[in-house]
Amino acid sequence: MALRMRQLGEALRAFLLPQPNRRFWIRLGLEIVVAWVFFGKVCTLSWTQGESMLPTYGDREFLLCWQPRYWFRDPRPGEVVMLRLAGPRVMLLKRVVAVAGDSVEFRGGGLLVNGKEPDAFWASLTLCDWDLPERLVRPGHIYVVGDNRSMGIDEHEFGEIAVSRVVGGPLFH
Amino acid sequence: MRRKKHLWRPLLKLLLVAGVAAGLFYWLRPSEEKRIRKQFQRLSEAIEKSGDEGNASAAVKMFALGNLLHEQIDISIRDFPYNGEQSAETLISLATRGRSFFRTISVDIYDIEVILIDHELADARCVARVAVESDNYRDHGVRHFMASLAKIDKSWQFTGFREDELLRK
Repeated sequence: MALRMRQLGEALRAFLLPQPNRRFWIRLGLEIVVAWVFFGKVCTLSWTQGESMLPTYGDREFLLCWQPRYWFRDPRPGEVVMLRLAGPRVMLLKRVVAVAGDSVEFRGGGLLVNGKEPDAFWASLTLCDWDLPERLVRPGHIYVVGDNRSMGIDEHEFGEIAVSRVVGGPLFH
Repeated sequence: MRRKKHLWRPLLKLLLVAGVAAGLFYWLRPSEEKRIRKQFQRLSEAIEKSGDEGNASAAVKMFALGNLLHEQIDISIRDFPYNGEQSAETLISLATRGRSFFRTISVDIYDIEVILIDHELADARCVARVAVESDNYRDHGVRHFMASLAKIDKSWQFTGFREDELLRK
């Protein structure tokens, strides 16, 4: 028992305080590269700023942006996406309400996609008084809106954006 | 015979080196796109301000800004009170005045997409992120722009800025 405890202690010490030999440096280098690729290109750490996605996402919430979600397919209506706004660091968090070929309209605060209100929880999460004439989403684009439509239409950043700007989607909430 | 052989060898080497140098110069010289990107970098450097900037440094930056702007610049930016045709002098004086309100200004320009119209005209789409800070005020914003440039005296100068909407409502 005492021998086993001593072996365990040695193994723990070797793990926590490794000898800086060649093997250690190779392992450390590989770990840095893997972490850099994973957190830089696959799963980006991010924080929300602003209240345009209330009540789904509040201000200063921690998010993981899962990029592989849209490597092989385009976003679908209802999905929350993260869009590249300025460089690799600044992104927009919005909900897709319509895709290419769909018509979008706000009438008396109600969202109309192809002339009818979407039968989904995200269609009217907050009170809204927006009015926006009907428009058609161009090919290669999606129409994104924040969930908090209680703010003024001019204060809220939303609209049609190129699919190429989609970085990924939040991994969990 | 021997002497002639000795004369040709260095000449051939010289020609070879000259050829390689010409090739390197041709392949590595900055393209017009790179030159335009550089102008954006210079523009952000001219506007940026650090906390300990002195008068001489500010004057140098405004001189650099003057070199980047054409005589007349057409501006169309949302909420900007001086939209329309403006002279470079007007913009430099506005920039000088605007910079004095803040202790620090940082400007980052991303996603520069150059569209060469011809050898002397170009448009460039970009995203600018500006953050300002004074003693009791802090703000930042992101705007998308379409800049127009013209090549004057072998140097690209900005001739216009208009806002380019990323999200079309």
